[in-house]
This record gives sequence, structure tokens and C-alpha cells, in this order.
Amino acid sequence: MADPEAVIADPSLSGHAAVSLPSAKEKKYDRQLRLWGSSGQEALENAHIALINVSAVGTETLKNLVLPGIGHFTVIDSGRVEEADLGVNFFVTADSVGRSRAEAVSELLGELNPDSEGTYINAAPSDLLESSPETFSKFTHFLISSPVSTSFLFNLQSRFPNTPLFFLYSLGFVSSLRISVPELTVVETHPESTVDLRLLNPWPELSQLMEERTKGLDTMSEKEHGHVPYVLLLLYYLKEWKTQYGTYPSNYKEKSAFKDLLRNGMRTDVAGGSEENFDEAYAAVMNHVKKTEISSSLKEIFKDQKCEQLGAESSDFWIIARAVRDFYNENSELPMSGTLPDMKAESKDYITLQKTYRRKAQEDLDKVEASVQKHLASVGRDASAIPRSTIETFTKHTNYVKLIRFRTLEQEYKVDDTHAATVKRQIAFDEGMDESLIYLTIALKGYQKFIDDRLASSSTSLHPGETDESIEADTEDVLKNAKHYLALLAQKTGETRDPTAEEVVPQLVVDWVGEIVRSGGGELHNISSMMGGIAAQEIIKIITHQYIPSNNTILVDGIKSKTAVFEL
Amino acid sequence: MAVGYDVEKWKYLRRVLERAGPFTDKDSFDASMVKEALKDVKILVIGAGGLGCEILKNLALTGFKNIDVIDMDTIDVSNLNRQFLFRSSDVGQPKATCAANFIKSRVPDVNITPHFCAIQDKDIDFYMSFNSIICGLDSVEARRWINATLVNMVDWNNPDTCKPLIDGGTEGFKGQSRVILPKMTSCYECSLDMLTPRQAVPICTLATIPRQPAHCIEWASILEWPRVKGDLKMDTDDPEHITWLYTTALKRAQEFGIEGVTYTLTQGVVKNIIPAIASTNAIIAASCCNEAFKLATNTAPFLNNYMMYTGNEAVYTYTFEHERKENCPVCGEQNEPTNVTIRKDVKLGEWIEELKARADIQLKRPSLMGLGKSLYVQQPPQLEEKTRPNLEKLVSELVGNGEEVAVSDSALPFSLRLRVLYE
Repeated sequence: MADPEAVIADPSLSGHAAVSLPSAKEKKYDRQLRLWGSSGQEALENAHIALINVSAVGTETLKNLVLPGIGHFTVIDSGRVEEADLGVNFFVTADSVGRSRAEAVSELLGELNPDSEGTYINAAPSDLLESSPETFSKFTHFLISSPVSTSFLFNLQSRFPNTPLFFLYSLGFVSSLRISVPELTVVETHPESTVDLRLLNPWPELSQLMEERTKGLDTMSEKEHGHVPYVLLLLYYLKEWKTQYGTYPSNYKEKSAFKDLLRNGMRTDVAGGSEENFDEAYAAVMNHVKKTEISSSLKEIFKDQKCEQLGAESSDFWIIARAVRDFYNENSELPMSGTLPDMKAESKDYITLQKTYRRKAQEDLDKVEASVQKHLASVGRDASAIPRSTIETFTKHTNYVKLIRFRTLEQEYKVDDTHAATVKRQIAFDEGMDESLIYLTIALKGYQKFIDDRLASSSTSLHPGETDESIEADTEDVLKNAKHYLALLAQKTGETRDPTAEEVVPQLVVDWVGEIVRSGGGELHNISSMMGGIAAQEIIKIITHQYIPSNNTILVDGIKSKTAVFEL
Repeated sequence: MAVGYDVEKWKYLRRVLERAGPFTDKDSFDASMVKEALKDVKILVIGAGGLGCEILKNLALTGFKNIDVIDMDTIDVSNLNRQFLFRSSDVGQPKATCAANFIKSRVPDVNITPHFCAIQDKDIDFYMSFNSIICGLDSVEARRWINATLVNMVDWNNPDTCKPLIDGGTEGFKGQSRVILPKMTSCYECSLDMLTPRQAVPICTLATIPRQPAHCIEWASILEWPRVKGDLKMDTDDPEHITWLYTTALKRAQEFGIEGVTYTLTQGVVKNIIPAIASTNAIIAASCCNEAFKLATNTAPFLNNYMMYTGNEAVYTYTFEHERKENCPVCGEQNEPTNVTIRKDVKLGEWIEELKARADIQLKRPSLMGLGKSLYVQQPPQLEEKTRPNLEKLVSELVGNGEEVAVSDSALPFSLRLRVLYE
């Protein structure tokens, strides 16, 4: 990172005359930079998130974004701080009762981190969207907490279809988060390993290295024999196997026989009774002796229209994806990642082997880069518009890159065929187990309809169960709404029986409705804090384009201490 | 209305306290009792770091009134990205005191007592005075200590001696929370083998055939530092010391053609830094406090007994019942020794290294006692010196086949029993 705080000059360090120490910022963010690096941090600093409606869960989410240094945040709410907020929201004080809620919260959140710039708008979000929609265009991400009307959600998303949207419920012991991003591409998915050893299709340089280092294997000294890197051992024995059988070992049985071949090659008359490099080779057979399959997620990307038809509006991701596809079509293999795991070896042998893998990765990168330049020129962009380092990040992760197109809120809430089929399938999966949180999503649909009805009327109470006296009638209303939604699902999936009949309403829907009404629209701090953490993780993943977010609804059940994810 | 539960302020919490839900166990739920219970409960928070700050905030906003917090650390600048009760002007101050003061200023109707000391400095009476304990620690050793201490406190003639222990831990986007009822559910020691001990690189690799940047850094800290600096104790928080290790490691890396030694990596390797972010701490701390709330109020059933959380790829939780280990060295009812098979040509020193790396042992400075004799003892220095020559002897010369060896560590209030069998 730029702007080091101090440098140490050490003339004995060739090529590294100045040693750069971490900057003040790097020190403060050390524990997170180890997860998402300086590029992730930069993305976080460039984001401007809007919190629409103040709630404990929304405030807790913002807290977890302000601490790691999100660039800007704006809180939008027309309400005033009430006594009851003091019992659930940590970012209001007794002094702030009666003040603008948006102002109070943004002030105390802002105190958390001077690097994060916070502001507020004291207005009702739905009014603001009508009166000055342009206000919303400066936000890079929308974080909305219930209660809001369904029509507000639809309006917001249809006006700003490209802005990632996060919608939260937190009601007593339950909480949910709906994520919608039209298209998310992730290169740095942080897989556990990006190793691809190419044992079954070694390139000439690697084969040559194997020949040199395994020459006279049987007569080598104990030290030499025990330090042949296992990758070269595998290549040596694979060649031997192929000479004998004509093909490489492919199924479990052949691989087991191949392992016996390795075992026979190992010397046992040595200290400890076995050779570590042979043990490593043995352990690597099942995972690494295979041809690299291209992942289903990469296949989808290669097949995508956006990969096929590049244009001036194509993002860098799609241009590189296309160049990688060209490479694949030409070479029948993916560009090398160049990663080599550690293994028992002499320093010199290991470094030589590592360089061989890296050199191949660089050669592959050269070809991909040339192709990227060609495509850039063809769409009328500067041929050097995409830096080599960006292309390299891609080719290091090729088989692990990810494309997610989230469904819109309208597709879900208006119950399109896909939604209906998903819910029906989830209910079928749960048959006889009664533990799926899909029933909670049905109860939440009933709750949302209740809120919509109340917002449209002039009623003073908004939530079901706000008073002890209203519990019974409200429960019935929410349940009626849930049944209505179930009827819609049944209609879409072509079910014939009457879904509103008492016996087909799953007991868990009734229970979750009861649990939601119990809360009377109130939050429990613990549940909001937990969801605040989950939502912040998801938002960070989407802002940084790193790691893989949930697609598209996360539910938290604070009673059974579990979560679930559904694509609704 | 009970004192301290302002009707309006606690409006939302009271709904859950006063109304049973469809999942509430109606037999154990008594609306008139729960508010009182919450007010009378005394709870101890161990650790005022990333998890601790969250836990304190959550407990204060869950209606707990009597909270103690214990932490021996002071605030460092690298804490500020997640430990939100601290500001840059607090750097150097005790975490426990600072955190308690902040909570009191924000939520005035709660009593928080800070303890700026190690958990080992407190006696049994101290721990006996709480109803339950929540741990937000980053140290395996401290967790093993409090777990063993609480298990040893249980006396079934007085059921109040069984103190629920709620434990949380995080690493990057992952974490776990669990509820331990000492002597009733699986304890921390029962699940120790779920942690993989950090793989130690053999000294000969560091000394002769380094291949990775980390090998060069470990060479600098383990071998070069004592050789060059003699008795000077390495302080991994001292930038001058880290800089020396970094430049020393860098020179070695250049000699061998190894790339990738950086200052940040040097720090990470020598301090064994685990990535930590606010959001993961929030998730795990909230889960712990939600369990503490349910335990204290019966408003809903509590976790039985383990939840794992993974956020790297989507969100995945696995909630399950971790089973008690019958021969757990801490809570086991039939404390049988664990059989360990070794070769006859293994030296005591080599065997100790193997034991340290075993998932079910993981001791930093183990001492070994054989049948009526010390095999190797770390403390006091005289005894260490006397037993040191044994390290070069074969285990088979010192311990007979089928004999028992007790392994202990001065940091832990129990010992592990091993039965040695030869191949």
C-alpha cells in the first residue's frame, strides 16, 4: 500500500534498499487487510451506503461497516428517538429522546471511526423517493429495514435497478435478510486451494525437469532419494504406469494400484521407516492425479450471452472471461494458476519447480493478455485499459470465479413461477421432518401484507401484536394473509386441492406467525446484533467483490440457534 | 413493575418476557418470574476484546443488571477496527475498565464491575458468586483453564455449583458458539480434538532447506534471534524487534531465491495473528448472549449445545449436540488413560514434540511424570536441569510397556493420563 510511515535503509539488501513499514492505516486495519487486502479496503472506502429506516438491526449493520472503514453512510428516517429505542438500540442515548432519529444515530455511529463520513436526512424514505429521487442516485448500496411498504421496495428497485439492495426484518427471535444485485461477478472467491498440478498433461519443461531430477532414482543416495519433490515422483511413476498400461490410472481401483506402485518405490530401510516425500506423493494421488474439470460455475460464465457478445459497455470481468474462453478453446485447458504447495524438498529443487510452474502461468497470462487487448480494441477501448495485474488475478482464480444474478424483489413478492416452484420444492424436502425455515418465509409474507394494509389505512398501530388486546385478531389477520399467499403458490404450481382449508396450512406456519405476533414488531437486541453481523458480512462481500455472498435470503432462527438460505 | 425495568424503555423486551411463544416450554415459563430472574442474575464476561465489547453491549441491552468483566490486556491500535467501545485516545488503557465505563455511560441502569487481571488471579469464591459465565477469548489455554475450574467446582449436593459456561470464538468469517453445562454436557476439553494444532515446521527444514517465506521468518525468530541477541527477550509488539526479524528473514529468503517475505507476513507468523472483523464478532457474541438470555428466562429453549458458523461461502451454520467424552481428562466419569503407541527407538525429547502437536493434548510446556519418577519437568529450574538429560534417552529405557505417564502443564489445573504401548 502507498504512503508508508517509515522506511529503513539497509544497504545489504540487494534490490530492497528500502524496507517499508506499515502505515498508520495499515496498522489499524491489520486484522481485516489479512482477509480482503488493499483492493478490498479501497472498494470499502469508495462505497456510500444508505440506511433507509432506523432500526436496531440496521444500526448494528452500519456499525459493522463503519468500524472497518466504509467511506460514507447516510441515515434516512423521519421519526424521533423514543424511550423504547433506548432498550434496544446502542446508538441512541437518553439525551437524544425526542430528537431526529436519523440525526442521533448517524452522530453516534460516526464517532466510531473518523475515516468514515456519516450524514443523515430527516425525511420519510417513501416521500423522499417521490419528491427527490435523485437523492438516491449517489448511494452505491441500499440497506432497508422493515417496516416499509412492498410498493416502496418495488419503486426503489425499479428506479435504481443496478444498486445492490439489502432488506432486513428483525422481529423478536427471528430475522431475515433479502439480497438483490442484478449481476455480481466475483474473481477473488478465496477458495481453499487454487493448486492445479497438471500431472496428466505436463508441458515439456516440466517433463524435462522430472527426467533430470529422477535420473537414476534407484541408485540415488539416501538423501537425494528422500528429497525428490513429490510432484516429480508422481510424474515419474505416472510415466512408468502409462508405458506399461497405455493410459493413466483413472478410476479408484487403478489409483489404488498406482499407490501400490509408489509404495514399492519407497525405501523403508531409512530412519523412521518411511520417506516423507513418498508419503506426500501417496497422499496426493486421489486428489491430484486427475484431469482438471472445468467448474460448473465457469461453464455458465463461458456460455453466457455477455461472454459471447462483447460491446463498449462490457465490464472488465466479461472481457477477461472472454479472453480466457478463447484460451480454453485454443488450448483445451485453462490458464495455469501457478500455485505450488509446500513439499519435502531441497530449497534449490523446490524453487526450480516453483519457477517452472510460475513461468508456465506467466506464459499463459501473456496469451490471455494479448487476447484481452484484442477484444478491448475491437470494442473501441484503449488496448491497455485493463492492467496486467487485474488479468493475472483472474487467471489465478479461473476455475473458481463466480457469477450470481439475484432475483428481483418483484419476482419474489409477485410470486412468479420460479418462486412458487422453489417454495413448493422446499416444503416437499422437509416432508416428515418439520424443521425447515421455509415456513418462516411464508409467515413473513403474511406479516408484510399486514404492514402493507396498515400503511395504506389510517390506523395508528402498525405491527401485529402491539398490544395484548390485539394479539388474537392480529394473529388471525397475519395467518389469513399467509393462507392467501399459500393459495397463490398452489395456483402457480397447479395444485388442485383447496389450499386455504385448515388442514393444509402447515403447523409451522401457524407457529411462526404466533412467534412474529408475540414480538409486536419489537426487536430483541441479540437477534438484531446477530443479523447485523451477518448482513455486514454479506455487504462487505458484495462491496469488495470477494468471497461468495448468499443468494438470496438468509433467515435466523434465534430459538433453535440456526440459519437457512433460500433463493426465493 | 420491578425496579430498573422502565416500562417504556424495555417495551420490546417485555413483550417476549411476558408473552409465551409457540416454541416456549410452558412448564418452565412463568411470566411473573422472568423479569425478576433477569434482574437477580449475576453474569461474568471473560475477555473485553472483540467478542467482549459486543457481549457487554448485548447483555446491557438484554436486561441483565449485574455484570462483571475480566481482562488482563490493554488497548492496542490494531483493536480499533472492531473493539468499538475504545477510541484511539484509549490506546494503552486497560480494556476491562474502558469497556465498563463506556457501557455505563451509554446504558446507565446497569452495574458493570471491571477486573484488570488474569483469570488465574481469581479464586473459587469469585467464580462461585456468578450464575453463569460467557467467554470471548482468543486463547485455547485460558479456555481450558476456566473450563476445568468450573467442572471441578460442581458438587451435586448443591446444584447451584454447576455454572453454565457459554463460549464463543471467531476466525475471519468463521466462528462458533456453544453452551457447556459442566458435568452434564460435553465440556471444552471433550472437544479439544476438533481444533487442529498449528503444524510446526521441523527445525531441520528451517535450518537447512527453507522453501517458503514463513520458513525464513521462523528461522529468524527461532534460531537467529537467540544466536545473535543472546538473552534479550523477543517482544513481538516491539516494531524494532519485528523489523530485525523481517530484514533477517528477507536476507535469508534472497539467499535461497524465495519470494514473499514482507513485514506484514513476518508479524503474522511470529505473533500467530488470526484475522478478526467486527461483523463475525457481532454474530458470535450475539449468539452467546441470546443463549444466556434464554438460559436465564426460559423464554425459549437454549442451544443444545454447539453452533458452527461459516461466512466465507454464503452463510452456513451447523447446529448439533457435541457428545461428552467418557474418558475426558476433565469431566469424564471413568477417567481411563489414553493408549499411545510409540516405536522403541523414539527419544523422550522427540516424543514430547509429538505429544505437543497432538490434537487431544496441545500443551505448550508439558511436564511428564512416570511411575513414581519425574521423566521431564519444566518447573522449578533445578528440577528441569536434573531431568533434562532424560530428553536424550529412549522412552523405552524410561517407561515400561503398559506403564502410565501423567502429562501436565503448569498453566492447567489437571493432568492427562497416557498408557505407553510399544510397537
